[in-house]
Amino acid sequence: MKIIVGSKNASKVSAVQMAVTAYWPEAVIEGIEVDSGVPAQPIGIEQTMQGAINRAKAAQAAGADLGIGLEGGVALFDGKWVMFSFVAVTDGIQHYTVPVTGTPLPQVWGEALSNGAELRPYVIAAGLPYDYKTGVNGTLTNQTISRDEVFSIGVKSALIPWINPAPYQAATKAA
Amino acid sequence: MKICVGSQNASKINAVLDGVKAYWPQAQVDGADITQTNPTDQSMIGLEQIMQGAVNRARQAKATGADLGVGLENGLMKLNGQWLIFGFVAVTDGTQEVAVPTMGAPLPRSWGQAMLAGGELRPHVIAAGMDYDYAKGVVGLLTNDNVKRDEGFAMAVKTALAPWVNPQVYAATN
Repeated sequence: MKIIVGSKNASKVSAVQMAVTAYWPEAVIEGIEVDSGVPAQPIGIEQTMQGAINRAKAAQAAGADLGIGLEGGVALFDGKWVMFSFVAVTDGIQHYTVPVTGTPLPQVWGEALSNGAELRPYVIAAGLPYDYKTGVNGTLTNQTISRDEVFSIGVKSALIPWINPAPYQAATKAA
Repeated sequence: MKICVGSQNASKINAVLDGVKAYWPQAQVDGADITQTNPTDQSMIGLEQIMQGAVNRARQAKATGADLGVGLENGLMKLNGQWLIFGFVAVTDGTQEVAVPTMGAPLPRSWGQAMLAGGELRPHVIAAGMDYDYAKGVVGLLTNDNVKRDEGFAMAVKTALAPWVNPQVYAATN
């Protein structure tokens, strides 16, 4: 089983590694640079989902059994900015995408992100530790969760159709 | 700290307890019997309905006199042509309110259609040759127990509580 992640981002690749190992300990995983086809900071569900799908497809096309794409985005839910992500997986024939756990952002941070700014100066100005490894969601939750963990649970879920293929292939089968 | 969950479902209350104790080990967490947001007992369909369900539950839970009201709602959404099961977690203190999406899981098409029609998943699970174990939930079942039943909810409770864990950061001027 060869799996390619549509990103060289170490945090994304390690999250995929964590999830994939739970199912296929022998799988070979690598990350490659791909074009997400969406802005560097996607806004809204559609753009974020599309970014994940584009990354998964490009990764799969590079010669993998499964291509995986992870994309982080921001969107307004209930009038508030929330940072969230999408995970997409494809084998070249079928592809699935799932949303992953959102984290509420301070409104000013959400506006900054949606205007293409970096969050780092805001995190530092708020007197919080900026740790790229655990991500902003780690910072805001006092490290009770980490970016890797959030991505990893999403990958475990998005891989379901390849873990239990039977019900996903019997498209019209009803009990 | 008194926290009320807008549900008496033991599994939802447990997910909140899991998330809350990461921050406030002493907090009191109770479930409230709130007015049904979904009296037909059918699945919530689509992002708006699911989010609104969570928000309504959180508001009613808060109104019982808790410091924080927490609402969890699960439902179905068709995204990119495929059925997903996913949820929202909402939290309110009566002034500030947030709602965040939880991890979603891809659902076999026929299962999604069955749920949409108000049917049970059990016969579909059995027809697919899988063991139906309510304790594992659909996500636990489909991930071979690699994602626990309430892990998605518990993680989203932790993130949804961030504005109360780091209130200074969420103050308007930041």
